[in-house]
Amino acid sequence: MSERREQVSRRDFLNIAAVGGGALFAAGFVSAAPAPAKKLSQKQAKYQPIPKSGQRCQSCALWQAPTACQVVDGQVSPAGWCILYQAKG
Amino acid sequence: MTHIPMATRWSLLSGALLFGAALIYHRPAEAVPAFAQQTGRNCAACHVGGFGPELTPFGREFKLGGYTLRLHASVPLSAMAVASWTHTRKDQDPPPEHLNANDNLVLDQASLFVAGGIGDHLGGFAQLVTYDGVGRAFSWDNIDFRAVTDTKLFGADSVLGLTLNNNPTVQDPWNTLPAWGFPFTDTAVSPTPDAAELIDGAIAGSVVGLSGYAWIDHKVYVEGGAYSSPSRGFLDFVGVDPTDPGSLHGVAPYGRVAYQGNLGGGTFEVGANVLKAAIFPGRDRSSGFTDRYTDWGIDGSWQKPIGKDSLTANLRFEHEKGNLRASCALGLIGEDTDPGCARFTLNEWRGAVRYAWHDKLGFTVSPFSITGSHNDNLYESGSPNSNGVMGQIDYTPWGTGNSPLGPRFNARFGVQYTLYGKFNGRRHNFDGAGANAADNNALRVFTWVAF
Repeated sequence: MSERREQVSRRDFLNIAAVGGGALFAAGFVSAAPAPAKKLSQKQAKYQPIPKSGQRCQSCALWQAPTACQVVDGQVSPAGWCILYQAKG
Repeated sequence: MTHIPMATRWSLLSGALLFGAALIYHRPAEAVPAFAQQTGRNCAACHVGGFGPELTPFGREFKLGGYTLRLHASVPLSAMAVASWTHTRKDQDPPPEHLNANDNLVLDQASLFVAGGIGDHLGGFAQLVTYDGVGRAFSWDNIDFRAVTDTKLFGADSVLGLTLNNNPTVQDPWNTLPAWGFPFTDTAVSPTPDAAELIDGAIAGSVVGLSGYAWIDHKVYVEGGAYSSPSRGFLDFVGVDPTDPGSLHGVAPYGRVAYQGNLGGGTFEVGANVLKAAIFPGRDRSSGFTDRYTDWGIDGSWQKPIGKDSLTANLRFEHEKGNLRASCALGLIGEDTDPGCARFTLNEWRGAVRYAWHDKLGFTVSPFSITGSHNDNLYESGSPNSNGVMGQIDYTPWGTGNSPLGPRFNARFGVQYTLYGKFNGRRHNFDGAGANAADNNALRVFTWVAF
C-alpha cells in the first residue's frame, strides 16, 4: 500500500515540475511585454559616491561622462562605485 | 524505489521544453534565462564569456545579494540542455550501460530551473528537475534558496544572508570550488578516476544544509553552516538514491572564508573552506561506526578584463583525511573486518586558465591531479593517483544577447580533450588487464543551450 502511495506522489512531483513548469514558462512569454529601457536605482546598485578598493565609476566600462552611468539612474560621481562595476579592459 | 516509465518521463520534460522553445521563437524580444530578464542585463554581465556558470564580479554580487536585484518583472523559469559526442582513445570494455563501446552521442542532461527574487530579501536558484540522459533518470539538482538583508558591519556596507542548499559549495560565488568549478560541463560517458574527495559532489543532492554568511564591505566573505540527511522517503521522492553514499551522523559542518580585492587591473580572490562529515554507509548503522571525512582547502582566482576580452585563472587545493571504519566493519571494504582497514589521505589540485575573446570564443587549459596514501583495500592498484590536463575551445555566438531567437536564448558549442598522464594509480596497466591511462583520453564535442 505504501509502495503505491509513493509511486503516485513521485509521479505527481515530476508531472507538476515538468508540465506545470512548462506551462508557466510558456505563459510568461505570452504575457511578457517588451521591456522599456530603464535603469537601476542607486539604492539597488548599492551606489556610493566614493571609490572602493581603487575601483571608481570613471574607470568603469558603463561610465558615461561627465556624470552618468549606462545602467544606474541619476547623477553619478566619477569617483563613485557600485556593484555593477566593470573595469574597462 | 519505484520507477515511472522512461518514455513517460522524457515525454513530459521534452514536451515542456519544446513548448517553451516554440513560444520563444514567436517572441524574439523576450527570452530567458530568467535572471537576464529580471536584471535587464545580458548573460555577459554576470558570466565570463557570455555563458554560465563562471561569474563576473557583478554576477557574484547578484548571487550574494540573494538574486533579488530586479529591473523588470520576470518569469522565474529557465531551461537548459547539454548534448555531446564522446570518443575515447580506446573502446571501453565493458561499454557504458545502454551505450556503445565508443563514439557515443548522448543527451547529457536537460534541466528545468526556477530562478528569481521576491521583494528585496528572498531569492533562489533551483535546478528543480534534471534528466540525466546517460543514467536515464530524473532527479532534483542544484538548489540554492536565500534570505538576505543589507546592513552595516564594522562601519561598512555589507550583506547578511542565509542559504538553504543541497550541495556543499553550490552556494559559493567564486568558480574555484567543485560545484561551479571547471569543467563547467562534462559527461558520464567516458571513464574518470575512481578517487575523489567528499566535497567533489559525493553528497551533492543527498543532503540539505543551511548556512549563514556575511559579505562585508564587498570584500570579505565569511560563511558557516551545516548539512544533514533528509529522510529516505524524501530522497526517493526527488530521485536520489538514499543509500549513496549513506546518511550523515548528526550534521556535517561547513565553513568558508574569502577575501576579494584588486590586483593588476583585475579582481582577485583568496579563500579557504572546510567540510567535516560522518556517514553511515548505505544508511546502515549496524556496525556502530561511521565513515569519517575531513576536507579542507584553499583557493584563489583572478579575473582581468583586456579590452573586450577577459583572462581568468582559478586554482584550488583540497586535502582530505578519511577513515572508513564503518565500511570496513561492515565488510564493504577489505577482506577482514578491521575497522582501520581504510584510513587514507587525498590531495587534489585543479587549476583552470581561460581566455575569453569578445564574449564569443573561449580557450581553457585545466591541469588536475589527485594523489594520496597507498591502500590496497581502497584501490585496485593500491594507489589513488591520477593526473592529466583538459583543454577546451568553445564558441558562444550570442553571449551579449544578440541571438536571433531573442536576448535570453543562449548557446555554447565546444570541444574538450582530456589527456591522462596517470589513471587510478598507474600510467600503464592500471587495471591489471593491460589498460593504460592514455586509453581513457577523451575527445568530447558538446552543444549546450539555455533559455
